[in-house]
Formats: sequence, structure tokens, C-alpha cells
Amino acid sequence: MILGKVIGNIVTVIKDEKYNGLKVMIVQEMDMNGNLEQNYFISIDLIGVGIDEVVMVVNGTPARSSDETFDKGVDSIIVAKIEILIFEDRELKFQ
Amino acid sequence: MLYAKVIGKTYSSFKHHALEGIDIKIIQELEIKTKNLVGKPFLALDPIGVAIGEYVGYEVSTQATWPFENKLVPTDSTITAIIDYISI
Repeated sequence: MILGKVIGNIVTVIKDEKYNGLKVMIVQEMDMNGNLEQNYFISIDLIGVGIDEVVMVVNGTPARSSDETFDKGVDSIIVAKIEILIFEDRELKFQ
Repeated sequence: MLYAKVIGKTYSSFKHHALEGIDIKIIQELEIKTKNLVGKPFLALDPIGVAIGEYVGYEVSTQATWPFENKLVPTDSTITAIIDYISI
């Protein structure tokens, strides 16, 4: 999984029926030092996060391996909000 | 299975219900002959309980969901083994 920061959301009117009720967010990839990288994802939010929060993103086929997205055309989901990151003797706190 | 070193951990109290009770660790892939860390560090689920500094085996992509047999768990990398020693 990768670390990302939620930078925006997407509002759509016409969606495939299977997408009903799913919230769509834009996530920018973040490295383990807290620096943002030039890599963006459109992810389905399964837990209800807000803008500027640091999250964990699952990409690829395993994104369909959850109760909410089983058998749907989804390849990127937000599954956890990360609060503290301990990496190489440093402790990063997010919000 | 791929080989990695555990280099960090995270705290997350707000996560998907299928991930409740499972730690999230930071790991980095290891070149097995030279023991050099290669590539970018990333997050992996830790259902077995490993410590920082240990060498582990992990699964990526769809196979990462297979250790959780009857449950749908959204994960694309899961730690599945602790490596004690390697002989090449």
C-alpha cells in the first residue's frame, strides 16, 4: 500500500449503477518523509476521510477485495487514516 | 514471496472494518545477496506481528489477500513470514 494525502473530491452526476453510494476523492502520493510526490490517484473512499488527511491507499485488483467494492470496477481505495508514522527514528504526526 | 526489512510502523485508529486489529508496518524490499535495501519504502499489513528491524517475507498484489481465507480484506501487500536465516 502507499501513503497519500487527500487533496480534493470529485462530484459526478452520471455514474454506473454499481458506483452508487461510493465517495470519490483525489489523492496525491506521499513519501515516508512526508513530502508530496507528483503522482495522483482517483480513489474510492470507504471510511469517510476529509481533505488534507493522510491516508493509506490500496491500488490494483485487491481494491475489489472489500465488502463495499466486491465485483465493481474499482482499482484504488482509501482504507485507513494514518495518524502517526514512525520511520528511521523519526516520528511524524498528521493532524 | 518477496523479501523485505521492516523499517517503521504506523498508528491508525480510523480504518476499514476488515483491517481492525491488524498492524500496518513500513517495509522496504531487500536484495537478498547483498542485503541492500532497494526501491521505495511502502506500507504493508502485518497479521503475524513483526518487530522493526526484522527481515520478513511478504506477498504483493492479489495474493496479499489470500492469507485471510474467508474474509474480504483490502490489501495489496501483506507480511506472511519472518526470515531467520538465508543460505545461498
